[in-house]
Amino acid sequence: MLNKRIIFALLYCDGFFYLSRNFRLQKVGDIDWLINNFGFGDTCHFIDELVCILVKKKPTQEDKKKFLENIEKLRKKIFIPITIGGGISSIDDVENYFLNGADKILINSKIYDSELMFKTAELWGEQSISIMIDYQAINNNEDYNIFTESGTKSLMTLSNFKDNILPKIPYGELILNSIDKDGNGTGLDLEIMKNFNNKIKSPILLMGGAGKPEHILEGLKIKNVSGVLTANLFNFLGSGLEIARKKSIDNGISLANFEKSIRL
Amino acid sequence: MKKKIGIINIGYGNIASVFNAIKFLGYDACLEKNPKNIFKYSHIILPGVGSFAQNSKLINKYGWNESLKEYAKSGLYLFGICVGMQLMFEDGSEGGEVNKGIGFFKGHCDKFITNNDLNLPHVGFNNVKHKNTKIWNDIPNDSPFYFVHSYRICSTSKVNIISETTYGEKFISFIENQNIFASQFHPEKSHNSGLKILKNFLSLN
Amino acid sequence: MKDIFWCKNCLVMSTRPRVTFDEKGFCSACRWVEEKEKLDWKKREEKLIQLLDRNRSEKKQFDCITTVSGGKDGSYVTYNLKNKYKMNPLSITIRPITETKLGIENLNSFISKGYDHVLVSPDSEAMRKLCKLGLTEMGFPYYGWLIAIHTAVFRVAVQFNIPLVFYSEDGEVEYGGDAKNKHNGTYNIDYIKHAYLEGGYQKILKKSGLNERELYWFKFPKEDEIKKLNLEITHYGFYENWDPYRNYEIAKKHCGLKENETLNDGSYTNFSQTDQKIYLLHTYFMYLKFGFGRANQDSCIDIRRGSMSREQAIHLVNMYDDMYPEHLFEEYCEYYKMNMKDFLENIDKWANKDLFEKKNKWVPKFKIK
Repeated sequence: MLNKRIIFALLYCDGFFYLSRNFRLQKVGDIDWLINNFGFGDTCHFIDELVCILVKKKPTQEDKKKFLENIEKLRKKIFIPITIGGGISSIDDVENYFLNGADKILINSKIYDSELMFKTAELWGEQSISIMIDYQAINNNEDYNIFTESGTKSLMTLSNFKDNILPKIPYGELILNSIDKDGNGTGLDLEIMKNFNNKIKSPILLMGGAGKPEHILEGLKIKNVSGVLTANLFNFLGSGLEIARKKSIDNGISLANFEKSIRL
Repeated sequence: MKKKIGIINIGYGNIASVFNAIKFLGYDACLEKNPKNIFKYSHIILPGVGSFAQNSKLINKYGWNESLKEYAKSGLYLFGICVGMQLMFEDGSEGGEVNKGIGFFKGHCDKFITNNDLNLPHVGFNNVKHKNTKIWNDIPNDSPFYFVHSYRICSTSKVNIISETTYGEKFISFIENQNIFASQFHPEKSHNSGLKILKNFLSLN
Repeated sequence: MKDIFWCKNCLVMSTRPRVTFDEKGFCSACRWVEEKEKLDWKKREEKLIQLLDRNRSEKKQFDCITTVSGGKDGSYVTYNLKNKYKMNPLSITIRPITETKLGIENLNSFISKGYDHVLVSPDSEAMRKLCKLGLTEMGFPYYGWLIAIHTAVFRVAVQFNIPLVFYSEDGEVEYGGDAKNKHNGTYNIDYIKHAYLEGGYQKILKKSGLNERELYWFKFPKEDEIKKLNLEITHYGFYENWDPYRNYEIAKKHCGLKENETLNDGSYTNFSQTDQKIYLLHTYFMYLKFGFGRANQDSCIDIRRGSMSREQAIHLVNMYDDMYPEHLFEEYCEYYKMNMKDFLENIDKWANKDLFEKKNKWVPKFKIK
């Protein structure tokens, strides 16, 4: 049976990793900090996938190069799927990310560039594309606004997106990222799933607001949710992810059982 | 002397991860673009990301088809991953047209049958039920491996030893026949179990 | 090291002044969180509206005072009083010592959103003397300022004839202390002296040798002035379920609040207490005297609002609580007009030897359980 997934997201900019609160970034530490405090290598035994996002606005080629160098340092000892995203503006960027360790790429602002989307799907397969939408509730959760460009540009409503964009683009999975809940730590926005009672063809994952292991469990309990993402460094570094995984398994969520370390 | 392991590089696979894994296991991993060099290696890995159509066209274009057939005939070890596995069958329908595979195994690669109850692609960790062959040494039955695909193989000739996984239906998640192995899942992305199966493959003599 | 222990729910330490624990081992702050869930907040809001209506007047320029720093809490309170309850607040800041650039920016952003504001800068020499005495006599690095945020505010209240003063929240109730006022909306100056000024007020004033003129901003208005004004002092946090993180979200959305680019020293957050550098010294003294620092403070708030597990909090506290603000010592010495030797000796004097031992710096003898 296909298991659900717990995914950790790293937010990177200019040599450092960040925490995000409603898309306001707090610098936390560089790669050494991450490795020392996050126990990279160890922590990855408790997650199903790792997502690395370049959160800099309008990154240059040099920025992307440094970003990939940082990921390279992390990749050496971890053997789990890695999604790389942020700053994708052309098919060359897409190729660059795949050549540098991406199993999947994450597309946000460029979802609406159908030429890029179709070319990517043609060359690497639509299953290699994760799309993420950043949304904010309007009118008391009656509908939602979707933003691009790091939450600064309001593009369209969720209903518009679901009806007119989603059915027409090639992609592998959809990540719903709540701007309101981002960094808040009091739990994911579970309400959003009411908009997906009629299943779409691909897996849906939730992101934004997890602060404790039980929040991850709450998200995974929802039938149509395939996985949960968190980028909350402070709330989950150390043993947080291990506890989240155990708690979820103990409560009946189907998650892959990994060994705690590499033993060959 | 370290064994030389060849990783076929046709330009559209995520070879970096496979490369890392092989190196981690202590072997001399080499990315290989030239089919004529194939016999430098004791083991070859055919990775694959992307569509069957794309990959099929490329392996034919560069002449890998023929080289790999020769390589396999000589008894050296070959491992196909994901689309790499699919390519080892007769043909595949991904990409909107039927493209030829190498044909090591009988069978066709088609889309999962969905009745709207199945999300595609099949992505995440799913369990593999395997037989106790050498390559599965020290890996418990029903261990989880990472899959990401919308097309799969359901049936093949009885001479092949297969391992199964269920996603709406039973499909072939791993196949072997003497010196040829292939996994629908990505061993280089499957934590400890994935590394183990690669290790077992690479230690075959 | 006598039996120190921690709250079973958050990480409040038994060493915290005036804190109490219940039979579950929950501290008064956590107990209060449970009570708050069942509280009739409608009733409390009605009390607020009554209080506001009593003071509201077309004839008056300002009908209440709020105490702000440009930070999240005061901004949140003022924002609500003006926009939600249609009052005409005068917001007051007592100029902090060792101001930060971010603090000044935030204060200006807040004011520019359309709030009437007064900045009181008490005589800086008097402030310095009182802070220094606080540092050496009580282990309270910014005691002078702590006094002034009460006394100076009431001076302004008397001068402007505004009888209603809002502070943000009662720290004793919300964060673990003497929770006796949790059901009292308003309080008096005696409570301030006891709970906020830690009982050292008279002693410090006397020792300062400052004259009446110099102490103007640091002394409460006369009894008859207060009576004539009919001064009511209250906490906004009494009337609604106080949530510091929510205040931050509102302040950043509506009052132009900006955070520090990276972690605040001593913790993992970046959005509270960013207006004066002396705060790091204050939390360091708190750590040395009682065993808990800024990260402990922040994580207790997060535990109580349901955004962090206790286990995770321990991890963060172990990482950040023992922050040693050495990089600011020269600046502190310059402020206090103290030499480094005396400054360091004073730190040693105030370190709680039951809890800490001196290696290169003071190292805890305890481990959080």
